[in-house]
Amino acid sequence: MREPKILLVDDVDYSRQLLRNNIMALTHSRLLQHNTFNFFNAGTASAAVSLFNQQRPDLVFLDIELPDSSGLELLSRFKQERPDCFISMISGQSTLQNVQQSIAKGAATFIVKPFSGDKILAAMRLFEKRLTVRPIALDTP
Amino acid sequence: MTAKQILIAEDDSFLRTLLLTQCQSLGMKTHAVANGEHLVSEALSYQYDIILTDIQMPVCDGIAATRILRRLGYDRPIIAMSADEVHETGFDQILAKPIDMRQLAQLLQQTPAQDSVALQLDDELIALFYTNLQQLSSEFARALQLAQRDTLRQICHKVKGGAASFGEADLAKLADKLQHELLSDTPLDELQQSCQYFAQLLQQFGGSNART
Repeated sequence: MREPKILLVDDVDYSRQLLRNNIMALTHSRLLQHNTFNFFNAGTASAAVSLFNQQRPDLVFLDIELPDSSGLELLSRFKQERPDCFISMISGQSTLQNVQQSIAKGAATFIVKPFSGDKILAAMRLFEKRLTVRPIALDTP
Repeated sequence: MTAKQILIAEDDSFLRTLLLTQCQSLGMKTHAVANGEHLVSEALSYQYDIILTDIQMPVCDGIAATRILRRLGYDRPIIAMSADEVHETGFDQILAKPIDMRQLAQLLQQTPAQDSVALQLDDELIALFYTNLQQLSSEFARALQLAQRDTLRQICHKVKGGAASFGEADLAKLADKLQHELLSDTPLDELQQSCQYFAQLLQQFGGSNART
């Protein structure tokens, strides 16, 4: 089984770095099943679309507010193209409307900023749980 | 030992107060909400060891809220309270109403505190955050000069999300307040002073803390 690919989509560079560092810290603490992940970064919606098509990530952390598009629009697009891709929305607002819209458009989970170790762990554990149900195929590029 | 944190969702104010008092007397840190919408928002902060929820509540009931949370992977204990029979798999336990306070106390004491994972912030990441604040301060000042209200609001939104993750809770609060003011109908002229103060604050935070 190859290492899962994670696409981090946020226009703030330290947010992407924070997610990456903390996911790796969870693997080092053996709190996750995987020892490593392959990360890709996108600061805009257009960069995210190219990387999504090129790299076919297994997991996407997607900020709801992007400079050149809405994260929710991108979510619909990604889910249409690859319904099995696990997408975790990231937002500063956990209103019921935000959460329900994200679920309706196919988001697997929802992280509310500010980030915490527990929120990131919960998202990663849900991702790994889904992977045990539907593992990454060996021949997936 | 750190006190367990409990989130109570109950629309009846009398019962809410009673539950708050009971949980506080057990040495727990408490927070209460009166509907399912606020239950979902609060629960997603992942700061509670236990959720205690009523079933019938306005806006979004306890069952709908719990289904949303479980679907999002929320795996911490949720205890329901109901006068009717409930067939719902998302709850860890269902207590019959009227609540037997002794039974509730026993259950809350038996429910363990949740393991918590600290957020890892190394020096490089912290430096990146403060450098970003400095950049945002220039962008904010420029947007203010050009009266670009939406850009101002977006910068506040960014600062709010980032600052709280890096322990700058006061800055995050201020950014949130200004973001709401910028979303309101208040003319930008009336928000000049608050905006200028915010720009200065960003500059100070960025300047005094940025590391190379």
